[in-house]
Amino acid sequence: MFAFVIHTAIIFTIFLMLAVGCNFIVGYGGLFTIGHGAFYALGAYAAGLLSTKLGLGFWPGLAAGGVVAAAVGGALAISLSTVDEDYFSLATFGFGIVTFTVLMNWFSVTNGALGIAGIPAPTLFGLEIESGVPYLALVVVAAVLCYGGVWLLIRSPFGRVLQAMRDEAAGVAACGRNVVWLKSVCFAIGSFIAGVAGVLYAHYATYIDPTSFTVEVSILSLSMAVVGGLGTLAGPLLGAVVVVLAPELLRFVDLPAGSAGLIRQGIYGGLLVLTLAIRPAGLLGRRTRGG
Amino acid sequence: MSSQILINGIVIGALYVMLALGFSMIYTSTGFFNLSHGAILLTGAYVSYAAGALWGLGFAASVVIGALAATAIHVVAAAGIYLPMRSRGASMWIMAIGSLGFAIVSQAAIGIVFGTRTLNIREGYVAPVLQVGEVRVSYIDVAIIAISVVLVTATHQFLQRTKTGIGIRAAMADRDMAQAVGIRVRSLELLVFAIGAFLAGTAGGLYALKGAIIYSMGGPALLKSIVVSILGIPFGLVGVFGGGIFLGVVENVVVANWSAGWVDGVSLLVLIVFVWLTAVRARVRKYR
Amino acid sequence: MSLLLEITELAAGYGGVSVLDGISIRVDSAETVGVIGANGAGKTTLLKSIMGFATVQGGGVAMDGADLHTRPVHDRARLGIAYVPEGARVFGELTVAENLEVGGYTTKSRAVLQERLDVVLDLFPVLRQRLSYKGNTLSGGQRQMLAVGRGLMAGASLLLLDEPSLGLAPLIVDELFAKLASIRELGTTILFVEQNAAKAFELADRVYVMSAGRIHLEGTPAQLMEDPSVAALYLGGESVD
Ligand SMILES: Nc1ncnc2c1ncn2[C@@H]1O[C@H](COP(=O)(O)OP(=O)(O)O)[C@@H](O)[C@H]1O
Ligand SMILES: [Mg+2]
Repeated sequence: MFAFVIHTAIIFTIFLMLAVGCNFIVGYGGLFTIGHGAFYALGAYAAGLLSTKLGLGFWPGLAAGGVVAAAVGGALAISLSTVDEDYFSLATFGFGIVTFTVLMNWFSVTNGALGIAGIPAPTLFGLEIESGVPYLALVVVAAVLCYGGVWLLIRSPFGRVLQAMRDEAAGVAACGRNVVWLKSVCFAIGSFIAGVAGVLYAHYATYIDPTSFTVEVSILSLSMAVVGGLGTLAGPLLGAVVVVLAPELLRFVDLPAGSAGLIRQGIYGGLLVLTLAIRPAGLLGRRTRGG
Repeated sequence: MSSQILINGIVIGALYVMLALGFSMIYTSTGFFNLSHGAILLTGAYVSYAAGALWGLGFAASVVIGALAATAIHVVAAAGIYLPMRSRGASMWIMAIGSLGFAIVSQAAIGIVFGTRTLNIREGYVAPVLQVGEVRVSYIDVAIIAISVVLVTATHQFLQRTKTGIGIRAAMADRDMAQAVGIRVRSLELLVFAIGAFLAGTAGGLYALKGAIIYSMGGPALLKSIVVSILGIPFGLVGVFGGGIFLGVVENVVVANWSAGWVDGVSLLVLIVFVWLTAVRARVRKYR
Repeated sequence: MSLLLEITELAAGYGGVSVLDGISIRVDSAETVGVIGANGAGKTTLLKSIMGFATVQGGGVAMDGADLHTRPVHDRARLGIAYVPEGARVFGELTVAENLEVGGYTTKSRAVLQERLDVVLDLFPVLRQRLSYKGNTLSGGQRQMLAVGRGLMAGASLLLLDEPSLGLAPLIVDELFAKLASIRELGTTILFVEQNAAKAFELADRVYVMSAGRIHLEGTPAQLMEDPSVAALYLGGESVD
């Protein structure tokens, strides 16, 4: 029971990081991505491969996972800069699926459906950070750092220009700002956070396979950001509580054994519909953004 | 490429065309990507299964009942959820996520009622096969192609020739101006939703007849709808037909030469490359 | 003459933004009324409030004695108001014939529609040659004529025109206003807004002068032309920007 609570808290915190990164891209940058999960996958696989094939440690892997995700994210945003908004979203969605397909089928590198096993637990000052409470502390610190980083960023001059661009891209471009660059930096930062979350997941689970990185992760990231309220600071936290934690609590309710998973899934969908139908701008949002 | 692969691709493509025409009509008229489109197909397939395998109705009746049930459920969702969301200021992607939520709910409901294992509507029935030279086509495949051509052409004629159809196209082009000439745009949007859902629901019933009903087939079906619509929209009806058949054939070639695992990745890659190369502008009104 | 459209103390804008500030205008049947004003005066907003596209914040609009306040846009069209918006806004993807057919969307009788179509095509012979062309292939002047023709197809009792001269070459403007004069002779009630005061004075029975969301003067063209402030402000050139 205690172990289960800790496990849920770790997964929750990792998802919270996905929501924070996604909210940064969608809510503050106005770039409606439906492929956030791909960068989570990139981080996880980078860490998994570097640690098992090259024997790289956790900390360099953490940096590498974040940087790989950021670089690919930035490049994707640049290459899609001429594409109309709606199609941008679709292309990110497609990118998520292509990534999944590659993980599944590029056997020689990713090991396909068999996945990567034996990813070591991280060490700090020579001590192994065990799964359980110490690992929870690690992910919480990481999440707090990301949350704090985003908080500082949106108050910085960069963040203010970014939000101005979200609301009025033409105006910001007219002021001589390079909109393509702004967008790609924003996308890279959000992807970096997703990559870091992926690394943390890989070293926690010690085994990864493509099924943890389906489109559903992208959708879940977006759902958390949207339900909480895009472009609000507390939105991702609230969104993660509603979307991830609430259905999880149903484990404590007596459901018919065979369809418990389905019922939880139905409730997740129902919460999504209900929140957006009642508050299209999300629980904390005042107005709708994106798209 | 053997002609057998080609014909298999065309049969699947004919189903994609029905999916995509409905999806793109809903997109151009209501302005959002209906991410429950795969769930419509799923509903059509499962209700057809209930009608055919559980209540013992004939194939044709089963498909029609499946399509009608799928239409009814999803029109209610549009009238009760998506369009009101838009009136409250939801942007197009927020509406899309709302529709995704509904898809998740309906898929879960189907799983609870029917279970999640693969079902077969025509247990023990082997469709007669037409042999033309080396190529074998079952009568069900022939029916699928015929029904797709008839329904898609009928939809097209309705849009082109009837007064209501012209009104729908006017509303697609300029929603406000269409209201200003007295068109009840909202009712027409629901009509378009009904047509789109009927096409997708029928595709679901036909898919069920063709082979197995797989619980998880809604997601891939949604992907095909999106890919084919995006490929096709700039080129009108011919584009949707061409895109559907193209994708069906490409997939069958991929499966025949490499492995089934690459199919979704390849089709989405086709999409990204297409979007990227042409940077197509959505010819659709944006709702704030 | 009977009162057709009555606007009383209308305050309107977009959401919380207020543009019109207590406007009162009346239009009798068979009358042609113009509203002139500089760019940004609120002319478009006035017509949008009549049609139901702007937020009414106070006052009211009544058509034939019926308060329009709660009516959706399509109902107002069905009550007999035809709207020719700024920049014509024809349905670009529809052919000219389809644009005209959509104009008569609320009319059931084929015979009546055919009659109206004949009137429109006699009035604008260029459209007859282009019936099968898409709306977005037309020139600016032809679009404006198509938009007016689309408005006439409704057989409406009130025609609203938003700056018909906008963006057209002077010769085309003359041609268009000649057509509007013939429409007026057919007995159609017209309320139009214009920056081009000279043209407005030619066409209208009565003119309102608007600036910054208020009506400042009202009178017949003859009366207004006497007014020194009008002459200075609006008749100096073709238009005032
Ligand atoms: N959609 C809108 N939202 C907010 N303000 C608007 C909108 N459209 C116009 N305005 C403002 O209303 C004022 C009057 O505009 P308009 O009615 O278009 O004037 P006119 O047609 O006389 O040029 C302008 O100051 C303009 O900026
Ligand atoms: Mg104007």
